[in-house]
Amino acid sequence: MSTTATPVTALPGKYLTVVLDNEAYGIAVLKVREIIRLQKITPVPQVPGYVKGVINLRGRVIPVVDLRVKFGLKAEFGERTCIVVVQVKLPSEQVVQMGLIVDCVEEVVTLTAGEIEPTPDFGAKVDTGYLLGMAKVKGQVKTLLDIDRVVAPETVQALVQTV
Amino acid sequence: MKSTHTSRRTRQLLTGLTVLLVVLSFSLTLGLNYRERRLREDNTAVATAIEHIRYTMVEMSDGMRGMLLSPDSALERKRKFDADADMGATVDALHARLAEEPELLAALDAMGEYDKQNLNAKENQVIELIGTDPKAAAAFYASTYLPARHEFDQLVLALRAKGQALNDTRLANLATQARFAYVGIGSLLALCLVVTSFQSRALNRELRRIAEELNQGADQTSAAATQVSASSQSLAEGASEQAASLEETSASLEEIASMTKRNAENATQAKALAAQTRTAADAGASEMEEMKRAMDAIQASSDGISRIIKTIDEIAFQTNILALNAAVEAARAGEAGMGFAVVADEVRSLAQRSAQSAKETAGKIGDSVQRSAHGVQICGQVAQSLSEIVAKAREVDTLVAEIATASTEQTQGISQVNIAISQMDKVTQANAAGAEESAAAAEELTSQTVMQKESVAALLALVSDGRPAASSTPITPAPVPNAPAAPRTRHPAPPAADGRPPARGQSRLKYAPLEAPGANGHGNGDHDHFAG
Repeated sequence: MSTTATPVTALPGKYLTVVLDNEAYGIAVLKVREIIRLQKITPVPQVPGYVKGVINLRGRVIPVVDLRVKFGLKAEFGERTCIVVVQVKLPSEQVVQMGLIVDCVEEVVTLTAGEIEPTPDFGAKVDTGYLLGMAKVKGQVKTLLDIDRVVAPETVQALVQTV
Repeated sequence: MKSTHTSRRTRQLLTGLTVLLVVLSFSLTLGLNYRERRLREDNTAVATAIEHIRYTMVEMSDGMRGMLLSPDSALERKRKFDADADMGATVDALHARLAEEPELLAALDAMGEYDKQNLNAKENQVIELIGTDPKAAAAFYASTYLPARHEFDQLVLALRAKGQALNDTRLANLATQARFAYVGIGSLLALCLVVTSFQSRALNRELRRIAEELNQGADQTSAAATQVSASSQSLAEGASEQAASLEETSASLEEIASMTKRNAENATQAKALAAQTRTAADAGASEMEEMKRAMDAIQASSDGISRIIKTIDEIAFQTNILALNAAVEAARAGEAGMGFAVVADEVRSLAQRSAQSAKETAGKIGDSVQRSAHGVQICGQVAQSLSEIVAKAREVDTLVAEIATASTEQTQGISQVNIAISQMDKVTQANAAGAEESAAAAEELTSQTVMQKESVAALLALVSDGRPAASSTPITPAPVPNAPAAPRTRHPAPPAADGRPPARGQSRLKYAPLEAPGANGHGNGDHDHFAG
């Protein structure tokens, strides 16, 4: 698993589904470190807009990215807004923790290989690099995110170094 | 009018003139008689005096002759001188009487002069010659004295004739004057009589005109009496109808009075009811306040429940997160975490059910809170409505009190109207009585008119000297009014218990029958019948 260079298709297994603007997205459970409620975020200057700042997670300072901003949606917090702490593997094989702000977390689902479809081809101009594939669950389509690529690794590198 | 006045003046003037003329003629007659008698008396006196002179002259000559015969006879001498003195006195008296007769006086003076110049001288010569030579004296007497005496006698006779002629002339003059005066007076009297006869004819004409006017006046008076009779009849009719209307009005007024009384009672009851309404509304308002407070309490407890629900929801949410974390940890554990994953899933579903229940309860509570707020709002509206009801009840209370007062005043007013109605009733009865009296007066007027007609006819007969009176139409007697009885019988007469006397018009029934032939019992029909 750690040796796979570019996993084009997602693997079957357990996925944590989160909601952004009434759309469900799947994150591989093994990438998830833990789920916490929204807490005070300390802003950091000179960072991209989708980086909200940093939080103190049990003594460790980790950056927090607002996925709504990242996905071009309107930034807003609700009662159910949570921060999903994920482990991102950098190109330098270094593993860092990072918080993702989502509207809410739904459940942990187990996806079989048959339920997973490859990412459709939207055309050359659309970057679909951060998508693992599309999962069909209970008649709905859920986008499976490649969490390592959702935020550009370079940016994460820079962030981690800044922090 | 002016011509009548003038002719009256003229008549008076003529009458006065006639009387004056008659009186004048009488006095003229008396005056003429007196003057004639005076003239005759004067003439007789003068003639007597002249005869007396002649007598004294004869006496004187007789005395002288006696003296001639017996010169010493004193008696003869005295006789002569007495006669002489008597003649002088008579001449003096005649002179005095003829003082205003210059003609006769001149003759008398001439006579006296002759006496002094001739006769006296010759007498004296005779008397002297008697003393000396009686024969010569006798001769002288016969030759000289007697012719002188004869001359004197001629003068005396001339005087007498002259006086007689003068007297005759005067008498003739007097007669002429009297004739002229009588002719003048007579012609004036005739003129007066002619004018008076003309005047009398004009007076007759005037009298005739006046008589005809009187006749016309009598006719008009008769017509007026008929009209008065008719109008008094209609007046009596109207009075009786008015009396009936007054009775109806009185009955209506009694009804109105009872209604007004009922109104006042109802107003009093309504006042009490309004007060009760106000009290009830006040009670409702205070209960509404309590209800509002209860609603507020419900809202407050709903808020509390809502907070609790929120807390539960929060707990469910956190439990869900914990369950998800547990699931994540179980997934990490791989095969070893399978059982833990099931537990986590169960916990998560419990948390979700809990959250669902909390959500539903929150919805219910929110609904309840919303309804409670709505109730509070309605409560406020009801309270406002109740306060409006209270205000309106107060207004109703005031209005009802005013209505009660007005009803009381109305009752007083109605009693005053009742008094006025009774007064009107009295007046109406007085009117009926007056109509009766005027009808009687019209009757009296008609009979007076008949009498006036007769007088006018007599006057016309007198004026027109037996000519028939021209415009003498028979007077139709004024119809006796019977109308006052008719309406009284139409409407039931008020009972004697009313204190009203029975209509006097009813007494007319026995004089004038109600059912005139060809008439429907109405007044005008009666008139036509009587007039025709």
